[in-house]
Amino acid sequence: MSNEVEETNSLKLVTPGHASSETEGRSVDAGPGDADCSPDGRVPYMMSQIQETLQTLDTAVDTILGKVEELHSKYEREGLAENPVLDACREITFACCFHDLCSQRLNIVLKSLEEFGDELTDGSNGTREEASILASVGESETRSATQDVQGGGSLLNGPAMTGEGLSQEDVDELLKSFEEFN
Amino acid sequence: MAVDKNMPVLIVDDYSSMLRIIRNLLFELGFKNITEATDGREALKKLNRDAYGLIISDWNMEPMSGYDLLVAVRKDEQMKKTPFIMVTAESKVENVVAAREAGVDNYIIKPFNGATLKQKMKRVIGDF
Repeated sequence: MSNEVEETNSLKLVTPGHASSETEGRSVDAGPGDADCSPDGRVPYMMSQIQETLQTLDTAVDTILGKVEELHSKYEREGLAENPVLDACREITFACCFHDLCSQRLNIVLKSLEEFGDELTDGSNGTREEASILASVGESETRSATQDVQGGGSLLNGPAMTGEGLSQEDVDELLKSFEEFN
Repeated sequence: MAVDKNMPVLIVDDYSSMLRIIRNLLFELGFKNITEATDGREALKKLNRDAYGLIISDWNMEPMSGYDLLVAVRKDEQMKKTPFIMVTAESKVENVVAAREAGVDNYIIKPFNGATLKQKMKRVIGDF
């Protein structure tokens, strides 16, 4: 397969959708080709890459779960409830939680990029400060009850980073303390 | 008293894979009467139409979150006693506290496994 490699700004850029192969040195898919390498052009490009990744994840997980379900039904029909293959099916099924978690993280990045892109666009018509004020006004208007609870910060933060957030054991302890208190 | 496995269970998540994962486990546990919704608003419509024995819901959904669904359920005279389990990636103390204060019966952090879901279900609806 031949890639459409072009020389731009001393980097070899590979046209999106084509895998980078050969080359000594730096052959990377670093941006939207020579179409638009300005920040205004790169933000939509990065967003489209993430959207493509989300789509790929959807398709892959759909295939994995479909095949696991087929396998599970087959072994269950054969009355092999304790079969190790069924255990593996269960584990694979729950491992697919990664789809939700990764998609949530990618959507957070996507939303930030969108806001960043809006700020860039607004910034070209007004000042950055004006754009920032407009963005924060829009944000406050779309707050839900979830975000306003207890008047504190947002309760929609998505998956915690490794080492942050509560574990299931912490949550169980916390809920138990409520029961004891009541 | 043993749990009636024919009771209707409502599962709510905006990711089809999560709905599938939870549905598959419920099936394996013998719960076959399962209805799905992809956000709080759709769930609320279904709850207004039919009674459910258990709600298993995600938190982070649009346009109506699982937390908002929980609040709406607990406010409604007809459905306020419906057992409600939150299954979410939101793992901050304030989330758990807010959910508890809103009346959640149990709280599961994603990623989770079948044993955890089964254990929490037993705590909420009784042994099966």
